[in-house]
Amino acid sequence: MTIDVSISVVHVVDDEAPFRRSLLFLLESSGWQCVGHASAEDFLLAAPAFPSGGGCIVLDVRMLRISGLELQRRLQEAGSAYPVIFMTGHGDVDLAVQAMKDGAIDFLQKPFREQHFLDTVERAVRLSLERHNASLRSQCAQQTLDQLSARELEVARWLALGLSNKEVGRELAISENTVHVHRQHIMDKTGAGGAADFARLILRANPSGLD
Amino acid sequence: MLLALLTLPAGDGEPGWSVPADYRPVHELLRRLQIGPYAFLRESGWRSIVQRIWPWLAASIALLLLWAVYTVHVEHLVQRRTRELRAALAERRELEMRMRNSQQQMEHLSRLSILGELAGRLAHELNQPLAAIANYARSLLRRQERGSLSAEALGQAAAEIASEAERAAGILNGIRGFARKRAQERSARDMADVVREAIGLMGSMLSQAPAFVIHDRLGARRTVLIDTLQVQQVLLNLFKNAWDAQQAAGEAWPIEVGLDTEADLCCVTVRDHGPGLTTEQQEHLFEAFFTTKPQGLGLGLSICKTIVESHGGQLQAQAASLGAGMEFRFFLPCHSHPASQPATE
Repeated sequence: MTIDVSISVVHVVDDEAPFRRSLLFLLESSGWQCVGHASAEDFLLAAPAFPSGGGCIVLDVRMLRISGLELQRRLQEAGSAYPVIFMTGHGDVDLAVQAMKDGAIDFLQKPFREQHFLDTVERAVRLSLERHNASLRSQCAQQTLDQLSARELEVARWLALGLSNKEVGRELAISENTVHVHRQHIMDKTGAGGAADFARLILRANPSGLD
Repeated sequence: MLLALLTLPAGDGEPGWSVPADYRPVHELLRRLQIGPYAFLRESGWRSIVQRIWPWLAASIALLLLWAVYTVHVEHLVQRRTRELRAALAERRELEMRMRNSQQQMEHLSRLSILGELAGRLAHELNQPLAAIANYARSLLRRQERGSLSAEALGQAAAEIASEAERAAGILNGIRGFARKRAQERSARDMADVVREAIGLMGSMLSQAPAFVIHDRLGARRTVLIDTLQVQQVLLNLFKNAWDAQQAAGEAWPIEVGLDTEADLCCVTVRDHGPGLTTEQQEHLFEAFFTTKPQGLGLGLSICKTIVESHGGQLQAQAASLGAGMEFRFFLPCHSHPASQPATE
């Protein structure tokens, strides 16, 4: 997946203004679109929508009032697609462990090598795009499946599991012919070509949809 | 019977009974025989006296006894109180001494911990501006490589770099001001006294204080004009180093302190019997953050050097001339006036 830096956005949240500005300057030199926030509250207030080109948040661990870790937790609760990269001026090993456990991309100690920082940002943006696309696909598949009636969905599930029309009919106590009709309707509504497509669609909408 | 006797006919030449006219002879007889009413004469003088005055005697003896007991009791009480008082005084003196020792100990320890605190704080404070400066410089290089370096960006970065550098300098100035806050108090001191005080401090700081031998070869010119606390700090540092070196080598030699007068200089030599140092180690000895100790900060000797030099002296290190070990020697200019007593502490 290629990244278009002109439509992806990197958010820098750090209460240390000179350092924040220097990071923005650095990101801009690599062509990134970036926005600085002086505090976690500022970021939450701005509530930036997820950019089509992907994005990430570069977050200082220690900030007044809402800390970096707290912001990460809130974003996760809100289902944010932004990956988080942490920075610290201290050697906070415990914080680093906690942040990584909570799904941070990396934990950088200031001052860091600018190449490593930029590589990490790129990795985070790429991941955000992958995550975002996966979620888009999932939403799309869900919308497709939502067109089906409850019975049709049930038939589609059994067919996706590899059962024949006859076996599905036995399973649901309906005639083979009825199953055939359902199958035809499902194919019409979803545009799927067969059982394998049903399976792909169901799994895309919900990875545990066939359990 | 009296009638019969009195009416007895009197015969011639025979005694007859009559009424006595004089009883004196009888009394005389009785007195001589010490019987009858004169029976008391039979008893010897003392016994009778005793017998007659014994209640008085007993009473006075009892009184005497009571008085003696009372006196002894009071004497005992006085002695006990005196003992208690003396013990209390000694305890108080000891307490005062211990307090003074621990206070001095605390001062030295706190100076060490302040140093550690300061180093950590300094590292953190300087981290931000330095990181920002590095970011701007790297960004400029990147832009130049990509051919996207605009004059505007260059100006912005240069201004930020300058202001961050100034911020870092400001932090350092603050620390320098903090270090300068303690005014130097110089007083004229006998060099040997200062050394002895430092040895005393060393004893109170370490649970197993090392033994010291002082070779006092100071001449008439033995006075130095110094900030006693600072020079003690130097001595303590040298002593501690010597002690650590010997401990590491398992040597139980006493630490030797030589005091000499050389021309206009008072010279103090601290000689240990440790393993000594390599030539390379000796070269870096006085550099800040150079240490041969696993827990060392690497600041002790560099601070010592600064202190000695601020007193117009010099600090040198060399391998001991005889046997293993190191000799640390510092010179301080002699002061022309005699030492002021007592120690200003």
